[in-house]
Amino acid sequence: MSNSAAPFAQSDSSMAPLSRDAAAAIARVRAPELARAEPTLASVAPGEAVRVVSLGLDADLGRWLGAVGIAAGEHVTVLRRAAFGGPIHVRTSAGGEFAVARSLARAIVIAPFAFDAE
Amino acid sequence: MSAPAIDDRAPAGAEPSREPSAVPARVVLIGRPNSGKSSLYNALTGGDAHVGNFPGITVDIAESEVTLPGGAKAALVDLPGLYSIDAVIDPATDEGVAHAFLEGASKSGRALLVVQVIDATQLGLGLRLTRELVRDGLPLLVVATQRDVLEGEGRSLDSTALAKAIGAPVIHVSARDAAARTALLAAIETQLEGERALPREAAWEPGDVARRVVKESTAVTPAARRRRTFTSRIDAVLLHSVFGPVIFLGMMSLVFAAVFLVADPVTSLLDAVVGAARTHLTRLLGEGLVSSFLADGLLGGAGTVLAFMPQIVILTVAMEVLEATGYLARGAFLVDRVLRLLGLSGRSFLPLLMGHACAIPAIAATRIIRDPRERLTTILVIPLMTCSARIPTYALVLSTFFAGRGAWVRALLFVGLYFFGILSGLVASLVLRRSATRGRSLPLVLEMPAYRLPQARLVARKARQAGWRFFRDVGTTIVAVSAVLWALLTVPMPGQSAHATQHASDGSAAAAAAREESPAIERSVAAVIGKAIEPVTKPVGFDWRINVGLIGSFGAREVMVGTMGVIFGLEGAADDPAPLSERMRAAKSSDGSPAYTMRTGLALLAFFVFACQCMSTVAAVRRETKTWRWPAFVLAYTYGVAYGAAFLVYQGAGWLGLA
Repeated sequence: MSNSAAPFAQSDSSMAPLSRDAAAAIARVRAPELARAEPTLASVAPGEAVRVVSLGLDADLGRWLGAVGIAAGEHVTVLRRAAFGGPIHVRTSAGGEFAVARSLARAIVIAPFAFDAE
Repeated sequence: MSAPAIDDRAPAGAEPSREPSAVPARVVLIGRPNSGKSSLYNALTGGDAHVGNFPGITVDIAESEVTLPGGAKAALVDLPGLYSIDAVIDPATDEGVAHAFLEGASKSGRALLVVQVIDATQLGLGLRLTRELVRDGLPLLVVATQRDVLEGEGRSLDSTALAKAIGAPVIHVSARDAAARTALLAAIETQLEGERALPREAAWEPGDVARRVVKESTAVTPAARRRRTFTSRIDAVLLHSVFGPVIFLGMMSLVFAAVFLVADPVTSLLDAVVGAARTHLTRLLGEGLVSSFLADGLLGGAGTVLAFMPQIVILTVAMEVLEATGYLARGAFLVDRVLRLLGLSGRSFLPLLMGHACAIPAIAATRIIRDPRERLTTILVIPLMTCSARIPTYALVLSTFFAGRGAWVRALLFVGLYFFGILSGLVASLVLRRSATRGRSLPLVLEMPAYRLPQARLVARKARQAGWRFFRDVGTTIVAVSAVLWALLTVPMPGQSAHATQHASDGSAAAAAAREESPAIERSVAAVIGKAIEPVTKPVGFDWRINVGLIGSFGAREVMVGTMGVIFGLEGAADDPAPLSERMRAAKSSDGSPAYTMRTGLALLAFFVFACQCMSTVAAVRRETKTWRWPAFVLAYTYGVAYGAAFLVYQGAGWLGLA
């Protein structure tokens, strides 16, 4: 019975490998202040291009999204939305396409942006 | 900050290429998923990779030795695909692993070169990671791939301008091109020799740089224009709100149809070959303990291993093709919502589906799930999917106890068992996500890569690797378990008399084998244990014979039918299940009443739906979780639920008056 250190065995107390910070970051995705009237990525209609205003997320998660091209000031085009509240298919201005979970999209505050598609 | 690497090397830079060959330089490939990194790695190494052993790193990282043009060796390391090395959400994710690895590598004092692979068609995205690497002061070489695709779209990359802008050397290749390997190895050598002419520059915007260095060709042909919109035109169909799911289901059915259609004849052929080898062996060595061990123990086990090989290879090919084309991400997009209800996400879908053929490759396939909790949950419920090894037992039980009910009842029960497996898996994941793997998951951000044509060579290589890996890891387990099982079923329990064997050997040669097994088995260690646990299994309707079958199939559930055949004194039961089912129907318990009724059959089915009677699965869980705790958990919960379900079914059927 060798019990080597492993991703699955790291945090013994919670039996879960996700760090507390990460869990907190995710918990903040649904922070109540975000439920206000500010338009978020979750409400953008397919085909529309928008500018990301701010991310209502923990710094780490925000930086990670920044690395894929979803950060304040960046432009994002919504291509389609999966049925029944599924993920949102977006194209970032850097040219990458991503499926973003609806819960995450609700934390991404956006502003309309006139975008001339090529 | 991991800056020291290159500076450490600088003082000794006078003769860098003559550094002791005992410690070859380390060249680390890094890049976003889908950047063409693995194609490049394979082109560089010729597919000759092994899993490197790095202290503190628990994720498999491939490592391989390459010879540079000047004759020096370098260790080429392939890090998992990642978007950032600075924004680390969790140490267990790929980003965390890469971060830890790079930190360790730059402190080790060994010569280091980071080679970042960038998809030239998505330069702006790739350059974000470049900027992080430049800022961290890592010695860097940028390889822009997909040259052919970029040029096909009527664009070109000015690599000199790019190198100047980012302050790191750039080479622009097409991974499919045979010349790419030579060019890249030469560039790696130059960099390792420490000729760093470019000033480091991190104050640039990835988007601006990308726009500056990618040039439109003067005349963009209509074909090039069409290529640029290829992915979005395909997506318009494949992700269509109505056609998308339909095509998806069709595609998945096709994959499974292929598994059964191709694997079935190959499996029967292998069965025949193993059977012939068995006969030959027995003839060669005669009846006896040694030949019985070789034929029943080892060959039987090896046959089981080989029978699963075609499935593994076909599934790997299908997976690789789906992954390489970019369709896998679309499938995840389509089913994400449904699985999210159960605490999983789109990424869990494929492993769960694969579990219907065999849990072992499915468990390995959970590596595509980024979220560690979700991945663990998926691994834990995969053993509940109706794998192909359950089918022979289902067929035996159905033909034994439902023979008089008409074919359509049996067919319906059969399909019902499949859905019952899926349902129980989904319920289990729902429960696990609220208990053992409780907690929020990383929200889904899934790249939807551009559609690309898979490279046949790469797919073939992956299939070969998967097959070999299965053979090595799982094969040894199955053979070992078969050998142990043979011993338990053959060796008499100490204290039990052994003269029955002598009686049997006096009899006629043909009948001897059949008669020899049956009495011997009753005194075997397995049978004694089977009788000893009868009090426990009585409430679920299992007598000692079924118990021995269950003990026999503890290691591999597909052994059940064969073991029952041996117990009921039948030779070659697997070839002809009907007599076995008749024999089982006719079996009497000690008081003369029928030993088994339909209740027993239903309870047995319920047991088989849940129980993880597969040591190979346990071994796979151990391999992927790198701890014994989760395989032990899988055994405990599946057997617990299996017993509970069998109890409910047996007692419930009794109440309803089913005989």
